[in-house]
Amino acid sequence: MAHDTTLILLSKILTVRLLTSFMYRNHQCLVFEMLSLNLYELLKNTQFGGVSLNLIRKFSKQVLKALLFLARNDVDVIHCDLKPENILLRHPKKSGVKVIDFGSSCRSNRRMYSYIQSRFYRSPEVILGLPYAVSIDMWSLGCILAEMHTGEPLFSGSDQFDQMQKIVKVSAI
Amino acid sequence: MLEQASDRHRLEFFERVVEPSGQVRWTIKQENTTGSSRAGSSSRPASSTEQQNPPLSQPVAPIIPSENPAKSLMEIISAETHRKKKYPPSETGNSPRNYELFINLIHRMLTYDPRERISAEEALNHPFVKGET
Repeated sequence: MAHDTTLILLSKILTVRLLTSFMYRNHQCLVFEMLSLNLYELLKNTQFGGVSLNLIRKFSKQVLKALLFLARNDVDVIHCDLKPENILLRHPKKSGVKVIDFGSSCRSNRRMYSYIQSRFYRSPEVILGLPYAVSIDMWSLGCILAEMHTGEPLFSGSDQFDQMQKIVKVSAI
Repeated sequence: MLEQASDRHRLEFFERVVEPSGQVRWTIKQENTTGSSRAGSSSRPASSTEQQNPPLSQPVAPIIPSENPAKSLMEIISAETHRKKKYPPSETGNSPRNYELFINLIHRMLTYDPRERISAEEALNHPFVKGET
């Protein structure tokens, strides 16, 4: 599968490291390094009060470096499901993070689905069924960073329609 | 962006309004008339991999947002500042200047048009991320 080469590339920096893989009863099993809390659990620990701008700066720098890596011409991967649950702390008391779960990811020239991303973090072009690129991950990151500070999802649509309404209602974007 | 979306997609969310002048504009629908469930469950949705057909393209006029009571990003984010007085800005970086930069960065990330949205490289050079304050 093309996915394998992708995973090997990704294992380098800022994304979860694949340790080994094996077949078990006809299932491909992937073993990843052990990481800590995800950012949603971290928010829960703040009683959804949100975290400081200093901490958000540290998170954003690392996730952006991961996105920059994914956007390279020789990598060219769209994560397609960036959300707080998919950004993990390396250590519960430190600010290092890694991006995980490339289960929905694809190459930008080999897009698989038109219906992707978790709803709260879904970009307008995906909602409208338009062609998309690595920039959909940047939309998700914008939603995530706002949520990390306020403690609540920026656009918490109850369905695809409500999602678009919530996006349009936040004026001045 | 609506110019490129297919009717099947855009009419799900927007209404085509023809002005007396004959000009066409788009407004967001107020009620979900498509009959899909609005259970309002606040559970966090999982990503879907449901297959849909690729859109067709058709030229139309640009989108104009509705005049609903709208909240700006500034209001959403700075309203929270009042709740966060536990620690001084020196420790948290929650200074007015940093809020300004933070909101600017979010605006750039949440730009509708993907071609104008900030790239990872640009964002890494954004003053909020660089922390030059």
